Amino acid sequence: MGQSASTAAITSRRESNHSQRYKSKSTAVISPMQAEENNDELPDGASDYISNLPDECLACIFQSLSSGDRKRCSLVCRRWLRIEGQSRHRLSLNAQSDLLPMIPSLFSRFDVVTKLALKCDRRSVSIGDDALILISLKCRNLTRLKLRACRELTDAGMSIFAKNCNGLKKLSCGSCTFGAKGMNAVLDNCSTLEELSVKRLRGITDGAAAEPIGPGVASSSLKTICLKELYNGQCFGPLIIGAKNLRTLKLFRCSGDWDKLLQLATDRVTSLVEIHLERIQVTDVGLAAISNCLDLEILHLVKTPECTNLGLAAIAERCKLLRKLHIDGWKANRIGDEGLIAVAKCCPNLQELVLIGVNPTRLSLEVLASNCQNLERLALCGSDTVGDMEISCIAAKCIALKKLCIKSCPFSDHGMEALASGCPNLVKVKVKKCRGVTTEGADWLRARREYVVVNLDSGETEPQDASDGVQENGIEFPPQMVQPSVASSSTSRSTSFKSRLGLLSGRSLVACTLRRWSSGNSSSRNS
Amino acid sequence: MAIMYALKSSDNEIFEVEQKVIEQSETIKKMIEDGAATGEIPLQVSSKTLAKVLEWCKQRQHKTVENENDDNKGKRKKERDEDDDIKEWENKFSDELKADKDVLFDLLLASNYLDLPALLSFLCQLVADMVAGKMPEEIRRMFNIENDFTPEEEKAITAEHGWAFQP
Repeated sequence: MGQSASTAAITSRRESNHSQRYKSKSTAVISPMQAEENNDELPDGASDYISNLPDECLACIFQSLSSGDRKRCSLVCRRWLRIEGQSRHRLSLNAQSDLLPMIPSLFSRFDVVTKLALKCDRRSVSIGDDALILISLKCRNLTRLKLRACRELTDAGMSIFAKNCNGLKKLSCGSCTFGAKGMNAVLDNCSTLEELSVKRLRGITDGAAAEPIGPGVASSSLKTICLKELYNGQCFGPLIIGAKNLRTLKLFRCSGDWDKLLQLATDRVTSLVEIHLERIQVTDVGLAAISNCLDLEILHLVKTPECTNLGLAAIAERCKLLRKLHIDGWKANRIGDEGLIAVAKCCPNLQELVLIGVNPTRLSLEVLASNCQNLERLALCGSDTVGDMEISCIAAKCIALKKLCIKSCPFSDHGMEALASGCPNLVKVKVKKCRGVTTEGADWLRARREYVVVNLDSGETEPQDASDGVQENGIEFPPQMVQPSVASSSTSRSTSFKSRLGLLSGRSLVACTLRRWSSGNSSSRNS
Repeated sequence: MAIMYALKSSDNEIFEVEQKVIEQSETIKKMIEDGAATGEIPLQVSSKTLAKVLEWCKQRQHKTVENENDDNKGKRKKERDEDDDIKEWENKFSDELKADKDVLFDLLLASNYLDLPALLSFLCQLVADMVAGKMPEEIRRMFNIENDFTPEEEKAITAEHGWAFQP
């Protein structure tokens, strides 16, 4: 929990460089004696209750407080200020240019920070290289850095930062403007980098002949690469191809033809366990390449309309360890029964299946239900073919099913009845926008199955749908499934903003639904 | 039969306790393992506080034993009822402590000294709940803490807060 780490840090500091620390502090000169006297022995009924507590207990109390409460606590007295500062490992700062003069005092106060976020807003001038360099000198032990809209940072600043903080494990940058040189500096210096997330990096979009990125020393330590909304995302080709221990690759809305790169990459990188492809140009050729990754467990194919049953079958036949499969077919009808049957026949470990805008019939659902005995979570959304027959089939045969989510499918109370007598392990059923299902149907299921949480939303509008940012299409799964990634936050923000707009202007339900279906599309345009 | 130990409080009161109950304290467990625990175990904890500590330990012990004996059938319903019972007990325990801060902080120190991680984090959470949402002045008043900042220092810290912890 990092709690022990902070305790250790506090104890050691108390013994060693305590007094020296505060000499260098500019804003608040704190007498070390104040803290020292409280450390030992049991109380003798003193009225100052809390000053008898050891530092580590106080740190433990702060750990369960929100950041607002921590702020207020640090204003209580000098001792609290010191302990709060020394027990804070994460720090998030407003990265406007005026932050620069505050850096020395901030980082003396929070001197064990290892996870730092620097966020600027679009309308303000961000910190520049000098600030980043100063920070890198103050926190050489940084393991995570998140940069948002720090547009004034350049390759030069990133290069020096990378040299000073070469223990970085995770870098995430969104809407920054430095370029390939800065990125390469990080990859060349941070030999333990495990996770790289890049969204809208403007610097690499300039010029026709884009500079290649990677591989660098980081290529062998990298486990996760996530690229979002990059015009020149293929610049990262050398990095992806060189990342021989890569486990997770996520590509969202990056232009260019990815088939070739996927072919080149999977010739060498076969350690991949998780692949997300969303709205990128990829065909069955790319999927066939992915089938080289025999350990693949998680695959998301979202709005990749050129992928067909053939490509999915190619993956299913070789990636037999597949556990989680998400497909948003975008109503293209190129992936359907045939591909799903291949999955059902070859991937007995399948635990989670999410189908959006895909039209499976009883044919595939039956094979899935009988072959994939571990199927615990199933979501079907916008499937015109999923009616009472299909739901009854799921109810009868999906023995392991725990969570079922159905949205915008033409099934009715009869299907709910079938669920009442089937799926013995069911704990949650969520039904949204299925007009055939009535409140009575849901109540009936609730009455029959005491331990099943039934969630019915025949709903006209659901603002929470978009604002949770989990899935734009409102499919809810437990939080551990959701990778809190860099870019999704901004996407969901714009989506929820849009849906609020939609609510205000009182659009019809149909328009609302259509808009949400295409929300992925519009949010990229929007920003 | 269960092995019993005698604990002696700082005001010389003796508490007879089962080994299983008191072994939750890493400090005492170590003493027992080292063979240092023959006869009475003297503790730097007052009898009032020690009684509270043991009340907690017994409740915890009770809980773990019951969970071990559970068979799977009908577990969910049973678990739910049990959780309710424990919640109720914990609420009562917390209310008593909140009402008497002397006991609360004695208990915090004792749980730290006896190395009872579960109790310690329970109490830390309790104090955190008391502090949450309060202004610095209210917190100082609640715990009799003296404000040792100069106005300039307070101003400087507040200025830092304007930059830090943006959501």
